[in-house]
Amino acid sequence: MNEMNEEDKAVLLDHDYDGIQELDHPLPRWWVMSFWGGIIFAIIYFSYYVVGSGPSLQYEYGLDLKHLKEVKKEYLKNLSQFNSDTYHSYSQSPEMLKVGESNFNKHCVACHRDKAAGDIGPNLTDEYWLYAEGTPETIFPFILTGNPSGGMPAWAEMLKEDELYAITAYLMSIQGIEQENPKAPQGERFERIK
Amino acid sequence: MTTSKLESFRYDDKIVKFFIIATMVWGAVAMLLGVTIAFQLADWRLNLGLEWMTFGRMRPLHTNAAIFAFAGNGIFAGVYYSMQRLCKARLFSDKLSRVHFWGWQLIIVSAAISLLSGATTGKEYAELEWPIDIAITVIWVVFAVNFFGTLFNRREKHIYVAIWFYIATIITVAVLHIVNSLEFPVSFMKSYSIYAGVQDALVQWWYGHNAVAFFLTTPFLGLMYYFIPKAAKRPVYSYRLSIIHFWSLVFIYIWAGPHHLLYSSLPNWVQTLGMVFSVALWAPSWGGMINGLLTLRGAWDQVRREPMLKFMAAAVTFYGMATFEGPLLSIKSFNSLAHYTDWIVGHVHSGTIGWNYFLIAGILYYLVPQLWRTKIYSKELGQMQFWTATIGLALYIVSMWIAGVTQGLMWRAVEPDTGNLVYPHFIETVVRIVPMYWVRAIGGTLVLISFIMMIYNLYKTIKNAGEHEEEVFQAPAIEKSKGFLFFKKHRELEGLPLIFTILVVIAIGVGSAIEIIPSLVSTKFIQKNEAITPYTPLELAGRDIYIREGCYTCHSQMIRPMAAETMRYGKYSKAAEFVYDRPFQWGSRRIGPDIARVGGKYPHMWHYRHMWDPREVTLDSIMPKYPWLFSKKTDYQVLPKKLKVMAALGVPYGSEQIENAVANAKEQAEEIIAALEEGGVENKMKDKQIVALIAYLQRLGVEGRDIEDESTQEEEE
Ligand code: HEC
Ligand code: HEC
Repeated sequence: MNEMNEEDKAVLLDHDYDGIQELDHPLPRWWVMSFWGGIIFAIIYFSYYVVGSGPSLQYEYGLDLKHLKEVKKEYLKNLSQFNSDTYHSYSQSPEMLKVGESNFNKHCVACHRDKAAGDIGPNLTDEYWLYAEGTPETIFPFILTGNPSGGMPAWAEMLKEDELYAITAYLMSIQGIEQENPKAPQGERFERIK
Repeated sequence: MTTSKLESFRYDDKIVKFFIIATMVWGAVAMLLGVTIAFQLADWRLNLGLEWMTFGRMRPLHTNAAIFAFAGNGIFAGVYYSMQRLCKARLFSDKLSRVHFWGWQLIIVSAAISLLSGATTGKEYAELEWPIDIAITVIWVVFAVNFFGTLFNRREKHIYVAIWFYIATIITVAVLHIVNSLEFPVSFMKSYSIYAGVQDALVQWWYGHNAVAFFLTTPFLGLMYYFIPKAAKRPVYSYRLSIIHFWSLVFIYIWAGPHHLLYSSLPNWVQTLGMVFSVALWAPSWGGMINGLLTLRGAWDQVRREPMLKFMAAAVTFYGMATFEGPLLSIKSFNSLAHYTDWIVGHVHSGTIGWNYFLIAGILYYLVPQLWRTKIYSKELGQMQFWTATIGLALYIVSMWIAGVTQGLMWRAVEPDTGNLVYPHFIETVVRIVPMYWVRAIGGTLVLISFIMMIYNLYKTIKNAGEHEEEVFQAPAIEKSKGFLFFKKHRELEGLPLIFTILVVIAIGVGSAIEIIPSLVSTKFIQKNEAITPYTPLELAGRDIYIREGCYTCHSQMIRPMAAETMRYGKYSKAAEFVYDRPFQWGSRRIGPDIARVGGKYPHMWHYRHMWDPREVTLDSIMPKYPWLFSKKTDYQVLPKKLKVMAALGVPYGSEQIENAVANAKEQAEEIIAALEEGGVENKMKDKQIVALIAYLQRLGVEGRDIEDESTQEEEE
């Protein structure tokens, strides 16, 4: 064993194990306090939330959700009003058409294929439509709600307002383009308005 | 007492040497596996498109190897060495020691083969299938007999604090392993848990958390109490502190498991118990750290010079860090941010690398020169190892911390004016943290390199050692204690190992019983719901594929009651939805999104493509490809047997259903293939495993959608 100081010698116990000796220093005060602190915290917390009337996780969640639903409702109400001025400012800007294209490539090609030629979802460049009618006024709101049971997700909460307009503008800009083996037409025919 | 005459004896050091070699070998293997899967997350191509190489199969092997092969062999080496010296007695039986050694290595090898080939129970750190579970039990009993036999033969009346910790380890690990592994075999390498859903989750995390407590903590604290005073040649700081922190640690630890299940469908009162006991655990844990560090008082210049002591001091410091972070992460508000993220992974590694690896390194630097009667080959190399490991670990912890906080914040971010998620596409949150995966992988590589340095250093040390005689020791026998039931002081208890052991059993029994039994026996906590039906045979086949591929290593199936979470994934999960899940698959990590309600979210074709190559539908995905699901056939013939086992466990399958299982599965496969054919898939694919997997994925969470949230009911009241 190394040299021991006086303080240690005073608390040295008279046993050893394979040469290991033990001192008997008192417990550090801060440690004792945190020891009891932890236990007292445990009792109080448990008493309030389980035995007492503390709100449950589910209850607190309910409050959060209620607030968010109100905010959302307000936002969706505004969003679903198709604004043709906004739309035109997008459809006439080559830059915004680019934004639309890149967003389409990011979120939609998985199901509608490159240039919307159709795959899991229908061809979006022909004159045949299931839900929309080939106009921005009808395509835009359909993208918002989609048809989840038919495999088309709702995008109102997934994409931002400007992205949604940009995608709509992009889709309108590729109506009638030449496609390599497009998906067979689905739905009713709506003549393209030039 | 000293009247009895001196007895001569030798120690069995050969078995310690065996375990030391095994520790080095498996340590390197475990870390190599860890580094491999770390790089797989940084670049998915490293999954190589091979079944056994994919992340989902390699990760369980990494965790099992690190815990049971590396730390396990390290524990056995240290315990067998110190036990003999603290008891002044040779190990109880040389034969049992050999059976223990070879049995354990055999278990590890069979674990490696079976996990890579996809045989798994799907319960974290308890993935091994039933034949191996039985083998583990047998070998653990061998260890226990050898240990308690040695204790019985001891020539030292009182048992030292290290032995207290060993006793707690042996008893508790046995209880945990047996209770959590209760399963019903279906075939040689497949079984179903006897617990379902919430109960399974509760038992599993009681086990999982206490595997950390009683496999990675208590044995190591015992080793610390032996090897630090020996290496530093300093007395232990406070005997009193040893007593208090030992008993409080053992009593409190066992309750803390549910902190892995906060915000889950577990009853709220159990969650809260898990949280408050975790907070109360902080001081008892730090008691161990204080005693370790203050034992090193006055030896700090030695610590600077000696790699051995440096590793020990750092180990205790990291232990302190990890046991501070643990209680913090158990507090509900922290947990809501950090759970399912990489923060938890960083936390675990500050324990397993910082505490377990470092302490083992310190112990090996002490033991190898002692056992081979020589000097360490190179202290400089030891210093280099220390700094390489420390820098590697720092990179690891910091990168995971950043990744975890980033991901946690991105998942919950909501735009205040629209009420929408800021990052509604999960993949955005993945792409953001991929750079951190690179940093972590590099950190891990440094840790692996440091370990190889140590292997080289110890190999050279052993090679340079000469021959030596076995030493003979002498000590008097002890009188067998008489009044073995009553004790007034703890000191007297230390002379009564049997009573001591019984008290340990009581200490761990109380918390276990109070937390687990109510949920097992009472239906009050897990209400059934008529909407939830058992899996169809094909879905069950798909579920077993999900388990086999270890999808749970990346995906959770537990939506928490948090607004940002239910906006992303749908209604929060209810206990009733899991009553047929054996095993439960809630997962603990979201490398990919939660899929508790993925059923019906996409068309079949989407999943078909996604499983073939996730990048076909999600450009930047880091999920592996699963091409073999498209060439392997679903095993229909085993389905009646599977249903029968499930029925025996209480799932309401009628005998007709069991008889018609094969026809029923084929019929469902026909429906799925019909939809896929529209997308150009050939009809002959209908018997392939991908179809069964799609059947499973498409039912996830569908039936539970209409179960009401609890909050709305509370509001109405
Ligand atoms: C998961 C696959 C999937 C994704 C991703 C997807 N769609 Fe669809 N989409 C479909 C399916 C399937 C339909 C047909 C729905 C039906 O038949 O009920 C559809 C229909 C549509 C229609 C209506 C077509 C018609 O004939 O009326 C539009 C417009 C549309 N999608 C636009 C988009 C846009 C824009 C995106 C990207 C923001 C997108 N879709 C992403 C699958 C998808
Ligand atoms: C290495 C981690 C990893 C593994 C292992 C893994 N996944 Fe994924 N998974 C991801 C990531 C990341 C995503 C998100 C990107 C994407 O869509 O591919 C994902 C997405 C998914 C999705 C889409 C979820 C959604 O809501 O969009 C499904 C379904 C899925 N995985 C199923 C599985 C199945 C089944 C397995 C096992 C056979 C599996 N995953 C294994 C990482 C993983």
